Amino acid sequence: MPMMTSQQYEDSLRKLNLVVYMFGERIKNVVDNPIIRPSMNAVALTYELAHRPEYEDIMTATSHVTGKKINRFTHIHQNNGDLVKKSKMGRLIGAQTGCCFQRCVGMDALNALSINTYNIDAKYCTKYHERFIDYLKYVQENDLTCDGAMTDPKGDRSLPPHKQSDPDMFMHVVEEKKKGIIVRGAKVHQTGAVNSHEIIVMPTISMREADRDFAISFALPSDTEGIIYIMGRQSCDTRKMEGPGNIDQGNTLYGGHEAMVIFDNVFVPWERVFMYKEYDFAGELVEQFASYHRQSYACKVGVGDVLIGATQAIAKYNGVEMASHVRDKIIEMNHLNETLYCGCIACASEGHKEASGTYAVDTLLANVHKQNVTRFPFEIARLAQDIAGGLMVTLPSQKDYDCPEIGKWMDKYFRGNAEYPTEERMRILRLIENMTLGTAAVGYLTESMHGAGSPQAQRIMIARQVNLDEKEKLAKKLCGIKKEEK
Amino acid sequence: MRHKKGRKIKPGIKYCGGCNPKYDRADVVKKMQHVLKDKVDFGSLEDEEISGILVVVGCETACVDASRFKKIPIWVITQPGDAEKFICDMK
Repeated sequence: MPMMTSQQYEDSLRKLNLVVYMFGERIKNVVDNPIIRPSMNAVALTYELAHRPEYEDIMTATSHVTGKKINRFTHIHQNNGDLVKKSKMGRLIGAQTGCCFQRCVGMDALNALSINTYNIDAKYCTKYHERFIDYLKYVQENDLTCDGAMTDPKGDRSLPPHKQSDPDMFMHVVEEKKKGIIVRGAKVHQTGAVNSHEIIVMPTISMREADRDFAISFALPSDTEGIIYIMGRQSCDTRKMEGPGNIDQGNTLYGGHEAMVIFDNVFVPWERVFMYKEYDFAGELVEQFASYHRQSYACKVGVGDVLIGATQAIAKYNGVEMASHVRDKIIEMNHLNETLYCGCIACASEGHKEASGTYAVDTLLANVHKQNVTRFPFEIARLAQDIAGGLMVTLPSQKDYDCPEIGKWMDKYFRGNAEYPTEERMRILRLIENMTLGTAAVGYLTESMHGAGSPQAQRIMIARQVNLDEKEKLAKKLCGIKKEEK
Repeated sequence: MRHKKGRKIKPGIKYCGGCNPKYDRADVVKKMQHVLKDKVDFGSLEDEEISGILVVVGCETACVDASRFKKIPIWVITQPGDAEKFICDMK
């Protein structure tokens, strides 16, 4: 099965035996749960688009290990063109879903490991890369969705892993066996975790020798015994329980989710271990993954496309689309959104080949891109709310709109431009609400802030990557300073 | 390229990836197929008997790599106006 259809993907999830909790209860039917279902729909779209001729040029690739046509989400980038297509794919699916579609994180983990396992082998004569390629073939042949799990709870941030009062604050080895290892810990903020077939675990920070038991990377089926998922809450999440197509849901089709993933003494066979105590490679893996994942925020450009479209629509419904300040604000939203696009295309176009043969993005530009993502969606969202007006947050519910006694008053008084039905105006307002302070704001705003590393993490990388000495030399040369600094 | 001896032209359709298209590519192709149903037999790239390639791209960047189709005619549609011209040419 080189490429699954969306139905095959859904069916494959039904076969998993995940241990998922939400609102204090075990969820027996994860796929059909109304709160989780929209996020499954978003991942399913990554399968559906790969089968449509008008998207396959971006959505598919040729495997460098099997030569077969595969979904791009399981591909290892073989040139800068692949990296550019990855950025374009993010925009495409972000625009189609208006939310986080979750599957990029596994792709980024696979690509980072393709580099890191090769480099560990080169130094220590280990066999991680061979293992990884076998695993990659399995993922590609079965077209799996992988959760890339990096973020540990981290406990006291001032202390390294080995000094934590509770060692489980970082994923670590608790026992070594003949056939594998036993691990314990947790990964938090795991986007799309319960929609995944596999979990790929990576260390979360650079480590020193004393932290060697924490320097581990491995992959497991998502329903492995001992793995427990606790669903994260999202603002307005229970609106999804008010019936399919409900106006108050905003986005009636798609959504995202995050979960906390507990590893309670979980067995990992050796063939699934990709780093074992090589602490000096933990930081490299974190940086490779982070750079890829910062590029992945190309998706926010697509989500921005939807929010800009919604804003243009509400301007028309409100009858203000020709007001010069409204037009200027929408221009500003586009300017910010396309500036984001510049960053994700640039870091891909300026990519380079690593020793393993995998192409990596330009680290500086990927970090600049993500730094912009921590800011611009907030301004785009502010402008959307500005143009939408206060009704976005004072609008009564669909149940009131459907109520025979009072619905007529809503229909009468919430009509804007008479050319458009009141219901359309309500739907667009709810979509803007969804994206700027409802469930989708988790992905569009706070995830833009903290996902793939908080703003300061990018600033540290930017400081490391720029060559200030060369810039200083350029300035001194132009103004006639000839003396070299010692 | 004109049809020979009354036979329909059979171009294979190759789309760009559609990351940020400026028009509905699939809709434009659907209209072309409807208008030219008696003149052109649109096929897939896998079809061995195709007599040309219709490259349908969403913007002027035209990022599709069509270099492997050098031996047969290539028509590029970058906007709905190109589709109208293709229709006129085929008629």
